[in-house]
Amino acid sequence: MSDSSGAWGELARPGVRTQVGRLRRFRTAYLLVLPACCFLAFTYAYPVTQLIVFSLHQRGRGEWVGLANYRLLLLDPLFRVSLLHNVLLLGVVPILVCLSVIVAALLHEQFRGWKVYRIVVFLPIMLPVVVAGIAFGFIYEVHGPLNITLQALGLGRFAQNWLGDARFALSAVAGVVVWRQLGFGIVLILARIVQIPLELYDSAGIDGAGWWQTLRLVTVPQLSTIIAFYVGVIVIELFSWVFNYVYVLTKGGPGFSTYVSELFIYDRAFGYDQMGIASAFSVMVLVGVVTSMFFYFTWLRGRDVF
Amino acid sequence: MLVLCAVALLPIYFMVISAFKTDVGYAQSPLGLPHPITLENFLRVFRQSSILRGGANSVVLTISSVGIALLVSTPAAYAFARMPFPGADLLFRLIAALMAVPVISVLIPLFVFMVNVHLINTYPAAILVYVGFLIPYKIFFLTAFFRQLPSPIIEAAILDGCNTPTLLRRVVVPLAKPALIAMAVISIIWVWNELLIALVFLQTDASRTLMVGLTVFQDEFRIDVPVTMAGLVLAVVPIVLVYMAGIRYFVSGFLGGAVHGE
Repeated sequence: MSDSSGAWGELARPGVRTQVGRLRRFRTAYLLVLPACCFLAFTYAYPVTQLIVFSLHQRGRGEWVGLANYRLLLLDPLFRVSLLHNVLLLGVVPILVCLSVIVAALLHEQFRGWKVYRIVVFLPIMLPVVVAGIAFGFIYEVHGPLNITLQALGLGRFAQNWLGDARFALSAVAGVVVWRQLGFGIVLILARIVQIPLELYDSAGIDGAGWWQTLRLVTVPQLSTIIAFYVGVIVIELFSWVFNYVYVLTKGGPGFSTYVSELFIYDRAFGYDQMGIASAFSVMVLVGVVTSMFFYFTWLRGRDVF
Repeated sequence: MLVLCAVALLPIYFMVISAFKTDVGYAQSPLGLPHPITLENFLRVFRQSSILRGGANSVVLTISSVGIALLVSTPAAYAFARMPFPGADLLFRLIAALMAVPVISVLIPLFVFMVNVHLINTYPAAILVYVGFLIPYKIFFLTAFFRQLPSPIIEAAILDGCNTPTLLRRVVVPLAKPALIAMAVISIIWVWNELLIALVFLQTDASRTLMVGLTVFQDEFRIDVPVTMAGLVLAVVPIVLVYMAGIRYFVSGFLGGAVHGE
């Protein structure tokens, strides 16, 4: 880019320190980023402003009601219940992390047949959530394959009405999430494990460490950053991306035992014509999620994950 | 390990074998191999549901949204990666944070907007929304990838007087092909599998996507397991094909993919 030709002429020659001149140097960069930002503004910025507007009016479009929707929301018992369920679902985090680490470590050792296992472990993620959800819907039935298998293994007393019993429905949904999401964790951790210097393992071996000890004291500390990243990813998912699982498996039932925030918002907005409350909740969730993630990424950047 | 594989495979196994069973066969042995093997279920799916139309809708949506998103995100990612400008860092972290936004939250105003401009139940509505959701993802991972591109080649091109559009087209894109393809595959699979946006913006029978069609299908054929399974298997086939096609580029790209519960 030749600076002293073109529309800016003399103003843009080196040495002229205008605000405009300085930004002009970055013109190309801004242009490159602009189209993407336009789309993003439409998909995120515009809705956020609208949401705030909606949340301050009755039913989203009626008269101004100030913070009444927020108050109604906080008083609604289902509000707390939905959030509670999202939080309960966080219980899958330790399960996913531990299983991923163990399986990745096993795969890393490349025992016989590991390539096959690697593909098999991937398969659940390939399925669309909808498909997995419908399939599991049948598997979980009272006379479905899961209970049949349990009975065949002599564990018949554990057979339940998995999706129909309020006590187990949430765990059943969590089970599907774990089944499907495990592969991602395994890939992520495996990619990091292969970077661990072999000398560490050699010295552990010389010191006489067993398999489990090596795992705990050598591998896991090396994985701490990637595990932190993975946990962040899972948490995002459990708050923002479980709608599909719940909608297909239980639609929030039985009796609201699997009701989660996303469903709450969806029902209020498209079912009960309570856009105001739905928007209020959305605003709260958005603020919570985006600020958490913003700081999370700032923290991650400091720890040099990428 | 074996247990894990069994657990991973069983639901899929169940799904596939059930698709080939007759109703009687399923009732008699839900877990066993199909005894009279039949293709009747697949035929019923074709005849009694709008699976082909749903599939066509999904294809159109998928290709357009992923194409546009890639077109828009690649230059932006390049700028973030190699052209530090004021506000880049902040903007990038903000965009990355957008990946965490629950779809349902922003859907409401977008839905109202689309209804008001009479774009509801049309392709452009869904495409606009999908592109918006695909972008943070793509920018996030493409930026990381572009940062790792070998500088000498790019610097040489710039020194040779290459201007930015040509630079992007002739140098950067060919270098980045594996990552771009991986991102495309992941995004295609995401859009194809996506339920909520399609559910909200494409509600008519004619415009419905395959995934939404499946949920409708599920309600209609509640009791008939083999037919439902046949529908599921058919819905998955395109995905498997796409995976196979892109598997080469996968492992590094995959680390970014399949994050969302879709």
